[in-house]
Amino acid sequence: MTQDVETKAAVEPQVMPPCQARCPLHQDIRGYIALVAQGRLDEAAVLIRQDNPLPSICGAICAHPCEEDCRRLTIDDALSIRGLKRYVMENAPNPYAPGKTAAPTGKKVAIIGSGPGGLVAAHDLALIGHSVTVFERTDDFGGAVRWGVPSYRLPVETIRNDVDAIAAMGVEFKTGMDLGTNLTIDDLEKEGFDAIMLMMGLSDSRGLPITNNDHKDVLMALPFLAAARNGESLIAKGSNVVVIGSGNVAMDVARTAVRFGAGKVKIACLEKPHELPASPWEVEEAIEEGVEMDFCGWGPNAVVIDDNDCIKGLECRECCSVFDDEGRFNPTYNDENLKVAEGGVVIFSIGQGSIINYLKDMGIELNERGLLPVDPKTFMTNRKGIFSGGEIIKGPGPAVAAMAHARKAAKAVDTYLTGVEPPEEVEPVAIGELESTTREHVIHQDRQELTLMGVAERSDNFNEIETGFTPEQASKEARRCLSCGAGAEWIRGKCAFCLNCVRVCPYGVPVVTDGSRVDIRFDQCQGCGICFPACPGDAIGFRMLGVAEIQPRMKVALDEAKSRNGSQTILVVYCDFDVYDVTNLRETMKEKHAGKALVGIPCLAKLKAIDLLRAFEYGADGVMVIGCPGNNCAYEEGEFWGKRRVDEAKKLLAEVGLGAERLEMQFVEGLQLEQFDEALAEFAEKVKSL
Amino acid sequence: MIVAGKKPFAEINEMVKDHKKIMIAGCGTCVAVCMAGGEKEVELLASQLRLARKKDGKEVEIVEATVTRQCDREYMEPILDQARECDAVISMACGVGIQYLSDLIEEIPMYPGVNTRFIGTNESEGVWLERCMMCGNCVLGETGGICPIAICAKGLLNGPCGGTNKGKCEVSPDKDCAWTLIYNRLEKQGKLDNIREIFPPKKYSLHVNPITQVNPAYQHAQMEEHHG
Amino acid sequence: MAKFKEALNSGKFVVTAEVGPPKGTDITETLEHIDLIKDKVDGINSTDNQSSVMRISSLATCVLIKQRGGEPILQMTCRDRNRMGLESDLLGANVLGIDNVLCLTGDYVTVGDHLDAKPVFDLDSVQLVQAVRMMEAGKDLGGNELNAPVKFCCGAIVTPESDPIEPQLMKYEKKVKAGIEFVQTQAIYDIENFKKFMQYARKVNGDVKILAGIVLLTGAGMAKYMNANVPGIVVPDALIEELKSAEKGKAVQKGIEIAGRMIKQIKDEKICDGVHIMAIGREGVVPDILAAAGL
Repeated sequence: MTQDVETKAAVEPQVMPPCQARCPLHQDIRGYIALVAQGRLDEAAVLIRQDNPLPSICGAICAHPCEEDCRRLTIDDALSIRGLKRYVMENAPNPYAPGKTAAPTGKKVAIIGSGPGGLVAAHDLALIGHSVTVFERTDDFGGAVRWGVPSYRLPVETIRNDVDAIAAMGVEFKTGMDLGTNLTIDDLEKEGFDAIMLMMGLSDSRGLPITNNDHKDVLMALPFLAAARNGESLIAKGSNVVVIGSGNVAMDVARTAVRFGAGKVKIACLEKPHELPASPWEVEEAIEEGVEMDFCGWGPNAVVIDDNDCIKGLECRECCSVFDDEGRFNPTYNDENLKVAEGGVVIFSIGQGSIINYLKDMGIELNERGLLPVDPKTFMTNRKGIFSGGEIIKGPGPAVAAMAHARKAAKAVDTYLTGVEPPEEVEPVAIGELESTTREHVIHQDRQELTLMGVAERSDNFNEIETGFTPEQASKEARRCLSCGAGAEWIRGKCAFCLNCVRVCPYGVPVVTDGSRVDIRFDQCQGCGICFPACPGDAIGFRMLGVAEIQPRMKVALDEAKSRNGSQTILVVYCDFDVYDVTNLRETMKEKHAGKALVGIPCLAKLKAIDLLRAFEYGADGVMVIGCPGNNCAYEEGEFWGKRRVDEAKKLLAEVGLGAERLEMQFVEGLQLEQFDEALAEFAEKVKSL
Repeated sequence: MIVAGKKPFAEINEMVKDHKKIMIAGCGTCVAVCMAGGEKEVELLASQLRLARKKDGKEVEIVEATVTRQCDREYMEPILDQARECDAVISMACGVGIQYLSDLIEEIPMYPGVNTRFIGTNESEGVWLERCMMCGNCVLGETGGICPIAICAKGLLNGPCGGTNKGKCEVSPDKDCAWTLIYNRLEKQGKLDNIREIFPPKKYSLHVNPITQVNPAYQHAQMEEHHG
Repeated sequence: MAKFKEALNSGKFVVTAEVGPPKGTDITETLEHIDLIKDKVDGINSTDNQSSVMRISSLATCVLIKQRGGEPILQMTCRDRNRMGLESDLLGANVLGIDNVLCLTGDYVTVGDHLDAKPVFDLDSVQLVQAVRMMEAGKDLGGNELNAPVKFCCGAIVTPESDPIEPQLMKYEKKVKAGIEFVQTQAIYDIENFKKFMQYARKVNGDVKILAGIVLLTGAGMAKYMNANVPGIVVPDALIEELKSAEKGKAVQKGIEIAGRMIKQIKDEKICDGVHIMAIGREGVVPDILAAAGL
């Protein structure tokens, strides 16, 4: 028995949708997408910001590993998760509504560096009541995303939105403060900081030890990109540019060079074009803009200089393989095969490091490779009260990974400051794959793509090239979400084992197992909700946002409508998935139909007859239910079941003597007021006459 | 399983018209399964009653309580005190549960919310079929597992009447002719000899209601001995 | 021996007809019908709340037939009486001089005019035949001695056109086994089909006398209605066409002609032992049918 207790894992890993499990920040993606689908953008923004303090930045540039694991990939295509995040931040009426910060703890934290890691640490610590100051060595905040990402991908204003929201929490931001130059650890301690976090990131571009690498026209990626942020070009117009490197930064450099009017821009790197580690869309967009890839698969050998001390080009040798059999970076070359990538400028874009030698003078030990070691649990350096996290510790990667690392470091700092150990965390696991029997019932829906500016329009300027979703696109995209694991929830104590759920589910999700048990397999559930009203014992709960609270939402909407126009109250219940622009719908409804309340539900299949009766109890004089036309339903059979629930409620109303006519159902696609304005007015007249 | 159907609302409304605080007691077993008296139906009836009273400008307070089974005392005990605070109880259980609940709160007027119909099976979503008349004298072994008492409208034991019609019953084209079913199944089993002999008339002496059934292991004499 | 039994045993072509008792106490028309046919047929059936429509009892009507000098055949269904009711009526019928009984299941209650009545069906038709035979042996169904036994010529019915036919024949065999002496069939219209049934019936038991059911067709509409609504009745298209061809107002005449022709063919070809004429609602024309048949 003792053994059992001992071997039992202390904390069960949380089972998450694959997108959430994959996201380094484990954002509640499924949750905010459900809210987008329901047009509840302010709530979606709150949910996004609950896990991600840099939502606008991520909406623009996140590498979105989440999309790689989306279960929709096995059906048609992944959800555009980044696109939906961007949509929320651009379209929510109040995307940065201030949240509640904890009471001040009286502890002061200094954060060195305002990159994504530093900003997340600042946010997290301020949220729990610590007094945070961020020290930035440049004249603006954002670190790598401010200076290392081009404006055409991430406008400065977008960064500023996120930074301002963090500042609004009470975080103090200081510019021009450079550790090792005009700032020391001792200074900070003297100022009374209880903890100091070194979040400088990797701000130094690396080069290669090749011939003539010190030529004045051999440039480094980060200074090149930083200058570009300030509108300054380090290359002469018309010059041909060879970019050494294969990652996203190399693509940014090449595309920035294109925008500065370079002649030919070539990428030179070890990997072949199809093997580039850069995101495929970055590569594709670079090629569209004229960046040449014919030196992909060639290793830089030497910078070739002509008699006039001008760069002629980059001599390369053929790269035979990049990794050895054990998967380690160990390139091999064919030295016989040399060729020159012609160009007058060579830009190194092969990776970043940091220059932190000055830390040694501040009593902070570096290891033999010059790197900064921290305790893996406490994130503390050898010097007490001095912490570090982000890329300076974990190495290069996408911003979201640095943010997640910084979050862990911030938690450790809080533990140091308060002495309170956080609950043990276990890496979450993703729910299982969709079975083929489930997949074959999922309706195919095309992925909505973010609109990209045309090549001609975008290649000579730094205007943002991507446009966020329109409301219709966002709505269509959000309803593609399979709501992994957010569907029906079996409540054992109430289950009468009637098997009605087994019989009505179009996806075959509820099953009888072991001949006697009912299992609603949550990992297969599509969240259509057909079983939800069909359960006679109310033994099925629903995890999806917006379902369980339909009745309170009806009451609030009806009370509001009544206060606007006391004479007659009509409730319009619509399918969330049927509305492309709910904000517009709400506005036009308010203008033209003051006495009418509006409540959406994610597919009418989830509507119970009791919900409709309750509307009348809450004071509705009539209820109009609007569903998608049959071929437009996001699920199999959804509208069919919705209609059955309405018919059931009609019968019950007739029995009571209130009249079935008080309840009416309409089918409209892409719901906007003009489509049912007349019908609604007619309905209101009819209800009045009853 | 016991199958019941909801009583027409008007009938319920009329029965309870003079009561102001009413408990609606649901049952989470058979009547829940047949969608007549489980938690969901309790909710709906409560809402209907409130709406009807509101329409007439009258007050009513409804207490909703659903137990696992109304045919077991232990499951009902948690709601009895609440029931005693009401002027009336509408039980949504089958006829059995309604009576049993009434026995436990004799002072409170009790009204049925359902009509108890039969014991049967769920044929498809929302559809139940009577399968047994509880005659106490089972002949299914002879009739291919199809009951001529329950499935034949007339309960005939010796074959179809003249009203049999292409496999359907003279009573309604919705009903199957039991004897066609029996004949076909026994033919499939090669057991038609089962029904060539004449079945004697049923022994109704075996069904003098109310019937008591005692498991041999729990005979009175033994139990008394055990409990001293 | 009773007159009907004698007729059955005589080897002659036996003819019976039925009268439907009225709903109410005015029996004028019923008596007229009885008087019209009593001397032309070998037995007169009195239906028992036919089609589950409540009327004067079959037993009372049989007594009237007896009083007018006819030979009554008491129809007894299992719908309205439990075994005690049926048995006591059998005793009563016998002492009132009724010697013939036809055992039937009876239509279901809800097809008639008392929808809410309790359907009894304590016995079925086979068991009722058995009850008659037991009482002839001096015992009732409770196993109790009778002070004197009954004596009946006992018959039952069969539906030769029943679909499917196998379960129907299986039940027929049980009736034979229970001891019926005669059978009055459901209406037949297809003589060739009927011949096949007779081949089968003779094999089951040659002693049982079989009277083919002849229901008067009063028009093409009625024929079509029966095809659509009455189980076990099939009027061939040819007959419907024949009825249609009748002059306006002469359809009944046509029906009488068809019935007469069928009876004649059955008799001439000795297909079975006789006929049972059911002129539902038009009992007055039975003599015309007989005339048309040359009887």
